[in-house]
Amino acid sequence: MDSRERNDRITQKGGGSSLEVRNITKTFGSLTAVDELSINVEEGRITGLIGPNGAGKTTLFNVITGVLRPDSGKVFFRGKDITHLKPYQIARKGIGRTWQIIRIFQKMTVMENLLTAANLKEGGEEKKPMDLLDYFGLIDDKDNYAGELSVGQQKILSIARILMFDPELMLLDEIAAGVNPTEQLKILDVIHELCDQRGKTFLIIEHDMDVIMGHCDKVICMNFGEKIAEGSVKEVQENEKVIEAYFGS
Amino acid sequence: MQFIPILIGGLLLGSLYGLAACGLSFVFGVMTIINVAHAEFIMLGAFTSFWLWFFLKINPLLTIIPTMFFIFVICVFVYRAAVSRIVGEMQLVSLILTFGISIFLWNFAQVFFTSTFRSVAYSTGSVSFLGSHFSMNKIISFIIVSAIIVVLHAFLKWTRIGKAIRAVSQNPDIASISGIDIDRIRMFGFGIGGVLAAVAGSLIAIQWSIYPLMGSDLILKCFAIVAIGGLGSILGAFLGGLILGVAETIGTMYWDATMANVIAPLLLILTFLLRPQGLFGYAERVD
Amino acid sequence: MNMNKTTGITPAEGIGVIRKKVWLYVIGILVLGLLVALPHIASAYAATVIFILFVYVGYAEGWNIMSGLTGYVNFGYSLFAGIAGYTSVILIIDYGLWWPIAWVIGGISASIVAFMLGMVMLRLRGSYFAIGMLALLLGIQLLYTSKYLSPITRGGYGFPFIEPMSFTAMYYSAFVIALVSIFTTYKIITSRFGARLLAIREDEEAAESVGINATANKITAFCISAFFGGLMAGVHVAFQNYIEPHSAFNIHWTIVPIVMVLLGGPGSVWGPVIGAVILTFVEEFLWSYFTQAYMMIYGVVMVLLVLLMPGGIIEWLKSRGTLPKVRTI
Repeated sequence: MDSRERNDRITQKGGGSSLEVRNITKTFGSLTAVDELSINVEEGRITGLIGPNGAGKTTLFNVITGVLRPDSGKVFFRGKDITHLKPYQIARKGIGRTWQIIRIFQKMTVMENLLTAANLKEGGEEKKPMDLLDYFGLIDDKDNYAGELSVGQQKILSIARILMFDPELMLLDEIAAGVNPTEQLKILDVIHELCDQRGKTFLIIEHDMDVIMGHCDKVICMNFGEKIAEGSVKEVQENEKVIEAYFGS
Repeated sequence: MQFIPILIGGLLLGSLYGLAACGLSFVFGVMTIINVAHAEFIMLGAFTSFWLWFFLKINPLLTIIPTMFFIFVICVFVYRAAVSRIVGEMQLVSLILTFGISIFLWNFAQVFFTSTFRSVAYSTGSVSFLGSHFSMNKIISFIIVSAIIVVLHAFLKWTRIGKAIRAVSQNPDIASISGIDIDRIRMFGFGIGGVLAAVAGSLIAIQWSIYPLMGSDLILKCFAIVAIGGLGSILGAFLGGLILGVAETIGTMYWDATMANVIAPLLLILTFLLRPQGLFGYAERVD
Repeated sequence: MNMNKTTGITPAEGIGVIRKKVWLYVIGILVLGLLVALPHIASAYAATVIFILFVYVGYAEGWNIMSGLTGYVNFGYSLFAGIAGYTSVILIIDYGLWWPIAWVIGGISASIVAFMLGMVMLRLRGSYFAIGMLALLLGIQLLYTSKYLSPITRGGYGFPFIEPMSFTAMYYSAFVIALVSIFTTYKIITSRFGARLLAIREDEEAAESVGINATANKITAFCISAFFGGLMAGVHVAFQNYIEPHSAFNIHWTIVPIVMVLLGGPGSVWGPVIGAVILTFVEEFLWSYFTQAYMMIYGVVMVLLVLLMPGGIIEWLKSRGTLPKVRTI
């Protein structure tokens, strides 16, 4: 399903705001990592978040998921204020998150990794771990230690794990990096299927421009903690400020 | 006017506490390891000073220098044999490791030194001030502690090794790239922590009784002081020591000695709850 | 048990596995039978040694449930032994309560204290928790020696008492409690609760991100850990006929279980038992030859374990393939 088809589906469904970040500021001493940032992530879309290293993208993720407390501003998820909730509460509300460095539980088995996250969605239904393992092709490895999987499989496991509580919004931090092309394709297929077939929303941080250009509906660019551009892939690609941010002036 | 002698007494006591805790904070600053056996090095320093005085009959204050060297060597050995191997690991690993070292050391002391309370019979008289008498020993101790702090500060600021130690404390990766042998520097750092403990031990030997289990009583006070002052901050340790010294002196005056000993754990818990980073350290809370 | 995925297990292999399991059950039943019969067939000394073994198994499993699974090292474990010890003795001696109930209430009192402490202490990072618990142990020990609590606790000198039960009763009580603690650990480790605790140990932040309320889970484990420590302490103190702060809150009841768990394998079901068995017999042997020095050896063993065998014996056997890599062990 391409962007146009997805747009049609969303308009039919009535896509609203999945995530709204309003004037979030986060400083560490004298360093301002996120500066009065406001973004809106639409439901059912894949939104890309780009920007040079140190732009504040991961800090933003940490603020959204409650790992860091913002100095000011608010975060809304499907209209509800989640700014001051704890990370586990935010997860249960339906936001799943992965990290740049894979953080699955290495010394626990694949199955155990899934079981840690089971049965948590408020009012939702519990996903069956075996179904998820089957879907992701991990059934054969279910009793192996997660640390023994390949990098690509571990990345897939980290997605499978958050799917256990059926989140509506998924924040993926460089999920396509560090894997071989086949695995990358598989990961992107999964993302597309979850988005197109099940209406999930994605906000992904990526450095690989091919991934961004080929798979995102909308792109937001950050630099020095601020939003410097927002729009379609083409619009952001041609934006002067974005070019300057990446290549200098 | 009762207050000023209590305050002075508390500060004199607190200065010694500060020195005792200093080494613990210092070692944490250099390699982010909490050395549970730190107070055992204080105990070893105290006993080394005591035996030197007892057998060689030299002035107790002079025993400080050989004690410093001796404990430095022991700490270097402990670092090489055990601590160096777990520097990168999680903090809990170092806690259990140093806990084990501490268990070995105080039982070793109990076996070989026996539990008799001992003290150095050394009196330099006393001084009268504002209607109260203060033992000259304590004042000399205060002067020595102050001198050590000044020397330490100068060492860290102006010597090559001192600067290297500061570099490794702040950013081991960059220090390593700049060509500093961080393992050797950490070894020095651990040794210096031991030296600070040793001096504290020697000074304790001329003021109080020493006994093999004195480490267990002291370690709690050291933890409390370092918590108040902030892990890694030498100034903080010193200030924390003064605070504890004054608090305990007031506590002994108005309650009794047992309750005064409850102050240290109480302050520790309160600090963890209200301000985990202490006065000058960095925050470390889970939520 | 590794199954051949494409062809399944062969009949010969199948019989081999069943044979191993049968042997295991037979040996297990024989050992159990021996332990049950022991007070009647062995010397009083031997029965006492085994009794102490049961006590340490209870302490070790209790410590393991919290610290082995969550990775939050509790240096103040003796706190629960002391509090429960005092509670149970005071209930029995001053209020005439029937001893099994007193012991259970002792365990519950330790749990309640754990709950209150946990609400506060378990919000701290691992090393702060460890040191904080040590501080609490020493502080509360001081409180029990102070004159403020002495109307109830009789202060620093404590008091002797005659326990209203036979040694046989104590023996079997300790036996049952030890078995229950092992079974409880097994149930926890193989449950989703156990998986959450292990996740917290692995990576607490990642665990929170998948919706695990780390604090609530830690507090629960902490309370269960305190209950078993306290329950067993009731029996233990009854055996000693004397209660005073120095022995009730002695750091020994923390150090020894910790070394047992580290030796056997933290976070496993049988690790604490293996560690307890090895160290109880080693201690008996060492104590008769090196009355004072044997504690030194505990320190050395702790250091060596951390450096060379951090997962304990069980993890070592699993990595060698001698034991299957399952949680049930």
